[in-house]
Amino acid sequence: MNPTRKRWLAAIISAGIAIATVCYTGYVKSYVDHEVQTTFFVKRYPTLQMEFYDPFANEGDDSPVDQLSSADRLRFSDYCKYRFGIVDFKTQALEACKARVPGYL
Amino acid sequence: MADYRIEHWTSGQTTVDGDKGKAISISVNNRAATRQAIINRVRQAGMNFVERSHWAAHKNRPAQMNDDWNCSKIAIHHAGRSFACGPAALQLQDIQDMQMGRSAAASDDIGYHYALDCFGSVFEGRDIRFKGETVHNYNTGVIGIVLLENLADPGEGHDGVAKITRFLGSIGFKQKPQVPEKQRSSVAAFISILREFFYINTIGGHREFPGQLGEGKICPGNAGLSLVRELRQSTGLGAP
Repeated sequence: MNPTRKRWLAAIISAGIAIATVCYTGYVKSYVDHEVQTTFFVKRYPTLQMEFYDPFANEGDDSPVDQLSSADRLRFSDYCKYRFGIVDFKTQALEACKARVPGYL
Repeated sequence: MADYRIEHWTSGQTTVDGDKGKAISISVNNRAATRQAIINRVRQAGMNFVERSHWAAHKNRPAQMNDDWNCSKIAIHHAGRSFACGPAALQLQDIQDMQMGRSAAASDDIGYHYALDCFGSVFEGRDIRFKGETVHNYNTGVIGIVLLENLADPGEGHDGVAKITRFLGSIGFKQKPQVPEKQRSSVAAFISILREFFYINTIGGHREFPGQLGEGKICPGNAGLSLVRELRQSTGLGAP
């Protein structure tokens, strides 16, 4: 294999790894113990979205899922889908998702 | 407040052809009056009290904040491992900016009710009439007080920061923190003032409250926890 072809092959493989990494790696930020924590996870479905949102990841008292604003609920359901593979948007499914979120520390 | 017997006095006199339509109704906001009375009492005790407006706090977002009044517990916090004794007003602005402005799980105000700097001054945080956001899922009836420095020993915790501080501690670049004497006496005096207004029966460090250690928290640090134990001993208050 000539050197030019080798370089192209290496570039294509590197790009593939980078795209796969972006597609399958996600992170969520939390604010607990007085510091911002970033938690990485492997996504269950490929997407270019990397940052996800957990409205309960702070030192406040958790509110029931059905009291979240529609924007927060949508973002939380995204997090549940990509982190835990829960594609059901119903309140019961999202409450079950909330119970599965591990500690962020 | 559960432990208060509120009495009102009034006097009146009848007038010829008078009717009750002319009566003037006066409502008394006991909670606002109590907030102010706490401030006055702190100043009366010779301590410096800085109200929200004086450290340029942002206005809260009251729509989603919850009332909470019958406080019976005090939670002591440290400000975190990125803090040290310094200009408290700027530190509080930073904390409030971060807590209200973060993209994820933003709060509607600073989470703590009061903050004490290293020189013993007391700063007002979230209005005492609202529930704090300082102890995850355990905020009802809890007054959150933050000491504006880092009180964690080098190496305390389980993350990368803890490993680095442990290394720095082992080569003598990081010392064990100590609660400054002025802050120590100020927090004791302030707690005794709060007990004049609320039926406080419990004081604890953040990680001592139910469910918190399971999340791996280190707040208020070992030095902070020693202070809390001293306070429990001197006040007779219970642990969470």
